[in-house]
Amino acid sequence: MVRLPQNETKKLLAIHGWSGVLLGLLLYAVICTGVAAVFEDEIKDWSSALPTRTEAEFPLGLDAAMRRLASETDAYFLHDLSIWPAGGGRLNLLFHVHETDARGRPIERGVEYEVDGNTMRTVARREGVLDDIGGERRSSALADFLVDLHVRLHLPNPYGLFLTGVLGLVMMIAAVTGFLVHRHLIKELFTLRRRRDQLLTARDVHVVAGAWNLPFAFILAFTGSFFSFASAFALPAMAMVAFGGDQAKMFETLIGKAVPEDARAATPADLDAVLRDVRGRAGEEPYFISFEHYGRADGVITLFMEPRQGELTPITYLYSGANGAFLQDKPLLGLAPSFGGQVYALIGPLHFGNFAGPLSKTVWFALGFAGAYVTLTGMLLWTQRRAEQRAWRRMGAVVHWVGYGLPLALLACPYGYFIALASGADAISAQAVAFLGTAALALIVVLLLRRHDAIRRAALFAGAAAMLAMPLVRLAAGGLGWPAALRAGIAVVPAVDLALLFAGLVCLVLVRRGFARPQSAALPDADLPETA
Amino acid sequence: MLAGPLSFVTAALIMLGSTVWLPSGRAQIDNLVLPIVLFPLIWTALFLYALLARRLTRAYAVVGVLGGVNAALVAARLWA
Repeated sequence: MVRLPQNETKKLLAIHGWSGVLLGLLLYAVICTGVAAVFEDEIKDWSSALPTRTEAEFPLGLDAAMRRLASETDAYFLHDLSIWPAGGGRLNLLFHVHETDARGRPIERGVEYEVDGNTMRTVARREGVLDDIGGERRSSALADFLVDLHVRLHLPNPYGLFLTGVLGLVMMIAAVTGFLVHRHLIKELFTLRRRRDQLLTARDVHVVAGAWNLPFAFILAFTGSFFSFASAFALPAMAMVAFGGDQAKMFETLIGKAVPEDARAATPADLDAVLRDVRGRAGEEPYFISFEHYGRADGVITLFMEPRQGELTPITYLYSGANGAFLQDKPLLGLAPSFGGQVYALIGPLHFGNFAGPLSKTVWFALGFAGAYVTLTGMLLWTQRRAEQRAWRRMGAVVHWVGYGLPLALLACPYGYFIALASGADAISAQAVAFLGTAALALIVVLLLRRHDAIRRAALFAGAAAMLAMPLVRLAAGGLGWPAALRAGIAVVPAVDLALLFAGLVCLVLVRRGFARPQSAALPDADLPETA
Repeated sequence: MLAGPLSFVTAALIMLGSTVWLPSGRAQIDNLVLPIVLFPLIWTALFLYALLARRLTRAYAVVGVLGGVNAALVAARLWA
């Protein structure tokens, strides 16, 4: 129990409420998309799976493909090379150089090849500035849409990152003040008064879910605001103070320079041999490969590995890019272990929940879902208590629209994506149209229904229908069937389909309960503003 | 004002000033990494202090001194 003077408690309660409601809607959008983004890789695989899959993410033959693509690329871009799985069994190979834009900010420009991991045949070629290239990736477009909404709300950099950074700070304040104002925190973890009035029950549900979720909300807010602010302003500002504005020099210091500068030309090392060696050393597959100074004597191949079993922090392996010799293993930052490097290495696993495979991801998904629930019920409670004021009734309508409309709009994205794929239309535009169209439709439905329980039931029913029909739409659009997926060892396709079917059935059960016991709705009926 | 923009600017100044006085550690990166990682916590602490302080003038003074000292460190580094 936290004891504070009454005056301070009142202030904290006011801060807790206002921090929640002021930016709560945007925060809710960030949390909802973050919940889905936990399964970013799985969504990529599910939405665009190739019919067969090699055993390794970086299969044998990658070296030959790398050399072939390098020979097809303008020599200007053959400075650095990044290679990573593109989803569905494809790989992205990005040859790029580092430039500065008109305002002096560092940018990356290059040529990106998307190759089929089975045949190493080029599926797509994209050229330009990295930010623009990212917007053209069709195979991973569905997951990218969610991630971009989560990371920067689809706003241009650095404004979107700055906004999500502020939202992270707001969430931290809500978590800290929530901890301080709930004087009987331990008791409240287990208090749910079901037989009293509905507002009290709703408040109890919010408090119970919020109290259990407090440590997790704090961790997510802290790590998320770090990611946003680091890119938006902290790193450039730090470079200004410590390196006279030279960001390249700062990154070189942070990452560590393993090989002295040597610009002489050298035949690139055999990437397949390097991959064979790193698998032997680490016992697992890398998730990202960086080839710095491609075709130079000081070339370095860095292989980024997931954390070893039982460990939280990832490790990287360095090889010579000229002869393929193993150089050293090292932390993500710096050439030697350090306190700062350790702290930094913990941030990613704590934010993404990817430190123990699907299990930790599922836990992170569930906790994130609870966070979205707490945010939504918090805003509903806040507006409900002030429903006698016209402005708050209008705000209540907006909360209902975003609260129930956003998940539906997100569920509409795969429909736009799959239908566009089947019809040969632009999948990236189609999913955006589906998102915005569903959001507009949700607003109309909220204004027509006007009552909380009716809006909730309609949203649950629409969500159930969307999730139950989605596997069929995916199949109809030419997606991989279950037998073929299982034969090829692509378990993620039936797994995501089954998860959608299960979630759809749960929504249907909730709809049925809502009809049978309308008084048991999460919040009491709230009259929303009259439609004009 | 104190809890909003001033706290944010002071937290940013503390982050940047820390590069000067924090030890760089074995890998020579601690003074760069830790301030950035800790920035959200620094801001949260300043924000709550600014709102809960009983004497507003003292809160302004504390935040002002923290910001001023770190701004001086940053300026000294920039013009060194």
